[in-house]
Amino acid sequence: MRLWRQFDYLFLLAIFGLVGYGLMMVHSATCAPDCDRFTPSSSSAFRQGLYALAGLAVMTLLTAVHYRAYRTLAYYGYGFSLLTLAAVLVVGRGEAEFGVRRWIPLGLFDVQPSELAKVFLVIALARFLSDRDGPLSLRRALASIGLLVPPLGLVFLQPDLGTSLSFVAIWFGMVAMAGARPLHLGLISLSAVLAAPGGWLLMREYQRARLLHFIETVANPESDPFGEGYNILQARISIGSGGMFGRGWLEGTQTQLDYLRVKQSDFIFSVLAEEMGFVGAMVLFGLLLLLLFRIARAAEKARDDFGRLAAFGVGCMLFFQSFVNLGTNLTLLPVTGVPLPLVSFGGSAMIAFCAAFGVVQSILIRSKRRAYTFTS
Amino acid sequence: MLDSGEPRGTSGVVPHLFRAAILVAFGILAAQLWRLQIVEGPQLRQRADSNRVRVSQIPPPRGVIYDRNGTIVASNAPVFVVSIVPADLPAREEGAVYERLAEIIGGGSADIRRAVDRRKAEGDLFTPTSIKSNVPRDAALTIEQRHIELPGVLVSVESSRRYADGPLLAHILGYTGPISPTVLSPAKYKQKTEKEGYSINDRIGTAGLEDSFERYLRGKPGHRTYEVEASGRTVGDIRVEQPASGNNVALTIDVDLQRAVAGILREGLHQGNVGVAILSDVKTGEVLSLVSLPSYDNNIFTDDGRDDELAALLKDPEQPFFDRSISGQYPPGSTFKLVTGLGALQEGVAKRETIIESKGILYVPHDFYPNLRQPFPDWSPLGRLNFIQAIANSSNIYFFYLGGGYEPEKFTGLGVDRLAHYARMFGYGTRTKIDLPGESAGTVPDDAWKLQRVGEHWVKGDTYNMSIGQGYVEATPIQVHNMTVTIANGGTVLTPHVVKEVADSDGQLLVANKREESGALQVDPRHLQTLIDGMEAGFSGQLLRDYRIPNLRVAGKTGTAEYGQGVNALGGEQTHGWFTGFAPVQDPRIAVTVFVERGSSSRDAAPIAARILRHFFEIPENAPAPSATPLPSPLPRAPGPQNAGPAAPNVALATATPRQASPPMAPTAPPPSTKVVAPTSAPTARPSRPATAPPAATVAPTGVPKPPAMAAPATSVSQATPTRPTRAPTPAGVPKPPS
Repeated sequence: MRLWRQFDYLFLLAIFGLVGYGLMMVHSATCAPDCDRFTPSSSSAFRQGLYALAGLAVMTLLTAVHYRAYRTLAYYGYGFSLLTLAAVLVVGRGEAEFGVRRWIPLGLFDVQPSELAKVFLVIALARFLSDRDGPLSLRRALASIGLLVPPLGLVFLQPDLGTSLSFVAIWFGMVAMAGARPLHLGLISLSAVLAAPGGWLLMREYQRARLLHFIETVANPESDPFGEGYNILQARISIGSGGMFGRGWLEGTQTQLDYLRVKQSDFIFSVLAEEMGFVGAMVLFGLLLLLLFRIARAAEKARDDFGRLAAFGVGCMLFFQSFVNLGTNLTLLPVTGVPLPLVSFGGSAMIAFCAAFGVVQSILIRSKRRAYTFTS
Repeated sequence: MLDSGEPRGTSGVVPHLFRAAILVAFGILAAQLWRLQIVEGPQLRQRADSNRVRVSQIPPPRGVIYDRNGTIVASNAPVFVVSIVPADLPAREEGAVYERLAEIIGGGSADIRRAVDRRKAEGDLFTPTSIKSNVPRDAALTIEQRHIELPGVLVSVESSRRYADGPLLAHILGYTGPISPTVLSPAKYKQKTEKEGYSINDRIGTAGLEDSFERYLRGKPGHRTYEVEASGRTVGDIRVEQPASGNNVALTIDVDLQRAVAGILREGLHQGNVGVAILSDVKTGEVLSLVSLPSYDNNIFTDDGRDDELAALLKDPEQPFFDRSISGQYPPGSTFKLVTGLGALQEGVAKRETIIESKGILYVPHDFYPNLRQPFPDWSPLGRLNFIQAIANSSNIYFFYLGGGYEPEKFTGLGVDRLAHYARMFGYGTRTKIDLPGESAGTVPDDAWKLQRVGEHWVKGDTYNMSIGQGYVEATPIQVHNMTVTIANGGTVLTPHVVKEVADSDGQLLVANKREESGALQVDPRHLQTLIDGMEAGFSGQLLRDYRIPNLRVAGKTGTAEYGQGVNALGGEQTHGWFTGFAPVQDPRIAVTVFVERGSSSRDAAPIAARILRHFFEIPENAPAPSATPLPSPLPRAPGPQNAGPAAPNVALATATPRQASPPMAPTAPPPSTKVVAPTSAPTARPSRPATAPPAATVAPTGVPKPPAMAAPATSVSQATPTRPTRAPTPAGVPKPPS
C-alpha cells in the first residue's frame, strides 16, 4: 500500500498519547474508593478503552476509504445527523435535574448524536463551500448558514450550549478558510453580536444562571462556594493544589475524596492538573498542540478544496473544544459542558473524533506528494 | 477544482492564523495554569486540605468528685449524642434529612432546622452542631444503619455528668452547662472560646464547685484530625491526640453525714422548707456538711426532657437554686452578742462579774430629741445578770449596755466603731473565701456606711440594734458559723473549705487544702473562755433544757433574727431562728450552725442542731425525759440533779452551767444564787418563753429609725409566702422534742 507511506505517524502518536493519558485520568477519577484493585467490569476506564478501540477501528476504516466518498455522501450524512438530533428531542435522555436531553439509549450503550453531528456538519460544509471556484461570495457564505442553522437549532433545543457554540466555531473557521473576505467575516460577527440579546432570550434558565454566575465568579471567585459555583471553585482548588509536579497519580485528594464533580468528563483536566501538576498539564498541552499542528499540516497538504476544508474543519472543532474545555477548567470561560477531546470519558465523542481524524488521515495520505517523496 | 493546489481568497493565510491562534490560546491557558498552580498553588493546596481535613475536639473526661471518704458524688456516664455537620447536608434536601432524623429521635424537624440554621448563621459549617443528647441506644443504632439516608448526621458517644446524690449536694457541686454567649456573658464567652480553647459544643461548670474548680475538673481536650469525603463520610484518621482527663476532687464533705444532716434539718423545719445546717471541723476549717434547703436535682441540667421541671424550679418562690448557706444575708440576731460580748470584755467595758439588771425594757433618750425616750425591750425582765448569765440567757438589755452604753448610769458602751472592729475581726463584712462561688459578704455597718447607704448619720439606737445583731448588720450562715469555729479553736479565723484535695488521674496531689488561717482574734484568751462559759451555760440552760445531750458538753448561742414588720400567725414578729455552737467544750471538735428561715431559735434551730450533734457523736436519741410528755414539764431532763426550774431564769441558768462540772468553769459559775430550786410556778417563768414572743425585740413601736432595707435582700423569699404554717400554739410554747 503505497498510500500509507503518507500516513502521519506523529498524528497517530498524538492521538494515542491523548487517549492513553485520558484512560489514566479517567481511571483515577472513577476508581475510588478502591483504587488499588483494578476491576475491569466496573471501571469507566475499561469502557473508555473499549470506546477507544472502536474509535481506532473506525479511524482505520475511514482512513482507508477515499475521501471523495465523504464528499459524495456529505448531504446524506448531514440529513441522517439531523434525523438523529430530532430523535433525541423525542426519545432522548439526560440529566433530569436540568431537563436536558442529550442521549439516545441503545440498550448496551447510549449515543450522543450531537457529537457525531459535528463531524457530519464539517463534511457537509466542506462540500458546500468547495462546490464553487473562486473567492467565497458573501451570498454563498450567508447561504452556508442554512446548513448551520438546523443542527444548531436542534442542539440548542436539547439544550446544549457548548455543542451549539462548537457548530458556530466550526462554521466560522471553515468559512474563513473557504476564502471569505475579512470584511464579510467582520460583518457576520457584528450581526452575531447584535443578535446576542436574542440568544439570551433563547437560553434556558440554567444557562443564563451559568453565564451570570461566571461573570460573578470572575469578579469574586468565592461568592457562592456551595451553590452554582461549587464545581468551578473545586476545579480551581484541584488545579492549584497540584503545583508543579502534582500530587501523584491516584493521590489527588480533591479527586479521590469526591470534592471535584463531573470529574471524568468536563473536569478531567482538573484531575490531571491536580495529580500530574503543571508538568503533566504541559505534556497534555504538547500532545494537543502536536495534534492540532498535524491537522493544520494535513489541511495545507490537501490536494483539493474539499479536503482542505474538511481537515481544517476538524482542526477547528478540536481546537475550539479543547480551548473551551481547558478555559472552563481554568476559570477563564463559563461552564458550557464541553468535554476535552479524546481525554474526557465518553464513547460518542471518542468515536466522533476518531472518525474525524480518520477523515483527516484519508485526506492526508491522498495529498499531493512533496518532491522528496518521488525519490523514494 | 480538484487539483487546484492554490488556496483561494483569504484561505492562504488562514492556516497561519490558525496556528497563531492555537499558540496564543495555549499560551493564555498555560499562563493561567502557571498562575493557579505555581503562584496561587500553596493557598489552593491549603484550601484543598481544609476541604478534606477536619479537626474535631475529643472532650476530656471530666474529673470525678469524691466525698471525704472516697464515695463518688459526681461522675461521668456515656450518652449518645446526635449532631449535624451543616456542610455535609445535601444541598437541596436538608429538609428531608431533618424529617427522617426527627422521625428517629423524636421532636420536630423545625427544631433541628433551627439549630442548624443558627450554626450556619455563625458561619461555621464544619463543626458538628449537637441536636440531641441522651439519645436512646436503639435510636443511635438506627441512625448509624441509615447513614446513607442521613448525610451530615453524626452519632457520637460523649460523657454526661451524673450526680449520685442529686439534691443532697447540688448547692456544693453545682452543675455544668453548655458554652453559649447567651448563658455566659459575651466577654466571658469570648475569653473561654478564644483564649481557653473551649469549643462551641463543650460544657462548662456554671455553678458550685463545677464552676469554681472548672480549671481542675475540665481536663485537656484531645484532637482528632481526620479525612472526610465530599459526602461527609470519614475516610480515616490522620492524627489522634488523646484527651487528658480532668483532675479528681475530694470534698471535705462526708456524704453520709450530709444526708443525715439534711434529713434532720428537713424534719426539723416546721415553718416552711427553708433552712441551713453547717457542720465543720473547728481545727481545720473543713466543712463536713453544708446543707441549704430547699435544694434541686442538679442532674436536671444534663438529663434531656426535664425542662419543665427546671422551669418549675426557677419559678419556685422558695428559690431552690439560692444557696442560703453562703449567699443568704440575714440579721445574725443574738448570735452577734458573742461579738459584742467579746469586744466588751477585751475593751474593759465589762467583766465576767459585771452585773446589769434587766427590768424588761430600757428607755434611752434620743440623740437629737433628749425628751423623747425610746424603749428598747428585753424579751423578759430577766433581773440582775452577770456576763455568763447574760450570754446564756441572751439578755438584750445587758448587751445594749455593752454595745451602746447607758448614760443615766454612766455606763460607757463599746460604741459602733469598736463594735464594728470586733465584728470584722471575726470576718463579718467580708467573704470567708470558702471555695464555692457566689458567696456574699454580709454587712458590718458604721457611720460612714450608713451615711452612704441610708443618707443619715449613725445614732445611738443603731448601736443598740447592732449590739444584738439587728438593724443594719447582716451575715451569711457561713460567717456566723465561722465565728463559732473561731471561738472554738481559741481564736484563729480559718478559711472554710469544702474541697479537701485535688489530684490528677495518676493520684498526684495538685491542691491540698490544709488548715488555712485568715486571721486571729486579738483578744485575751481568758475573755474567750468567759464567752465559751456563757455559751455552755446557754446550751445547758433553761431555754434549751430539752435538748441537752448526755455526756456531751456543748457551747452554743441561739439567735432570733427579726425581719419585716408583720406579725406572724402566733402573734409574734416574723423571725428567723439561729443556733450556732460547738462540742465538746473541753476539746472542741466540731461546730454546728443551724439557720431556719421564718423559724424560732429555741424551738427550731436549737433542736435541729442538738439532733445533728447527737448524730455526729453517735449519742442515741432514746427519748430524754421531757420529750416523753407532750405538755411542759418543769423538770429538766439533764443529768445535773441541781438543775433549776424555770422560776427565775437568771438563777436557773446559773445553776445549770456546771452540769458537767468542767474544771475551768465550775468555780466561776456560781453567782449569787446557786441553790435556788424553784420547782413551782411555771406560769411565772414562762409567760415570755420565746416560742411566741421571741427575744431581740428591736422593733418596738418607737421612733427608732428602722432601716428600711433591713429585711429586703435576704428575706424576699420568705415574704413571698404570706403566713407561716400554723403550728399548734401550745399555751406554754413548749419546745418541740427533737425526735
